[in-house]
Amino acid sequence: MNISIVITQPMINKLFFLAAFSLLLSACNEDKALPIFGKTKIEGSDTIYHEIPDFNFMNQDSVMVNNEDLKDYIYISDFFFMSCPSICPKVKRQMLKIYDQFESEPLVKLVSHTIDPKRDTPEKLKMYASNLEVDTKKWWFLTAEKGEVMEIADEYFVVAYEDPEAPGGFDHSGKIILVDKDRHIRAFAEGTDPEDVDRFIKDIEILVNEYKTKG
Amino acid sequence: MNIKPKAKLLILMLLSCFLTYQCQLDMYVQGERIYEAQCSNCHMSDGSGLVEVINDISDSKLFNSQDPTPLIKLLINGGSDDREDGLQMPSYKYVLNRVEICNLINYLNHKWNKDFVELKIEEFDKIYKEEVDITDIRLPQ
Repeated sequence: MNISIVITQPMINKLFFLAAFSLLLSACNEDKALPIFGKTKIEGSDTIYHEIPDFNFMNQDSVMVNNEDLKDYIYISDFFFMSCPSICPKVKRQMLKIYDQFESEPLVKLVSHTIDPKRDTPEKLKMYASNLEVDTKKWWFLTAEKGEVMEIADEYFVVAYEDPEAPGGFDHSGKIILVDKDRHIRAFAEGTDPEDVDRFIKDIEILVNEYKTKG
Repeated sequence: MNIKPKAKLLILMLLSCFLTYQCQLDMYVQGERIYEAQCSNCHMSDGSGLVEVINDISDSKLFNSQDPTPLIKLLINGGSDDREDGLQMPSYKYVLNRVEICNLINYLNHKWNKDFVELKIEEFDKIYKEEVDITDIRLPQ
């Protein structure tokens, strides 16, 4: 049997447009996977991504916590101090928005680091959390030696240092950071900008969905 | 151009209405700027604060034109230091001068107090001088 199909130029044109259109659609529908931030190293055939190093910090209940406690969670991190007269309350307002959004999502935790461990003792942090009316099982407030906090801030690419000239005695950025189960940084938000945080919330949803489809 | 007298009158009336409205919108501009620069970081631009950490001031009883003294005292001396978490409101005695504090109070009351009556600087000064040693050279001029 000999079947011959005659393909005409208009048909090709139509097919081309159909293909292009469906490609566009699929590109729109699929959430793009989040990038992994930081410098990557190539070792042999492996790509080594930047990751949050080991830490061992004290929480608001004076209990030591470390990375192992976070290995099954994705978490959202920020750096602040309680008596901060500048940007912290506005950033906390946005952290609270994220908390409300993911309150019933067990995969998500929030981790706030104080950069003023001298004044922000675990007891004070606990009061702060209780005044924020949040559950400290979901939202941790951590303290550590000042040097350790500044060191870990570097790893999150957050600027934080003591500066007597700055309001409240510390200079720091209002970044909010998303970290995945493998300690990789996957997204940032400017914590003083509500619109940027709305975009960031969508990024968190993408990461949550990524883990859910993986199973 | 030939405009009828009645039309001229109408235009004038409309213009004066518009200007009055505009001026009311822009009342206490310095107070608003001071609020944004000194207060909004903590109390937020809409006054809503931060849950129980920072007071929601949008329904504060301190915004009372009949008795401005408690608000003046709070701005001069800062909040009481009996909070367990140590997060009291700072004092603005050495940050804002008397005219600035008075403008700020008028902005706050105009925005949030339903029974707003403008606080005159003479009236403000009476209370201010009772609270502050006006010979203190650190006071901003």
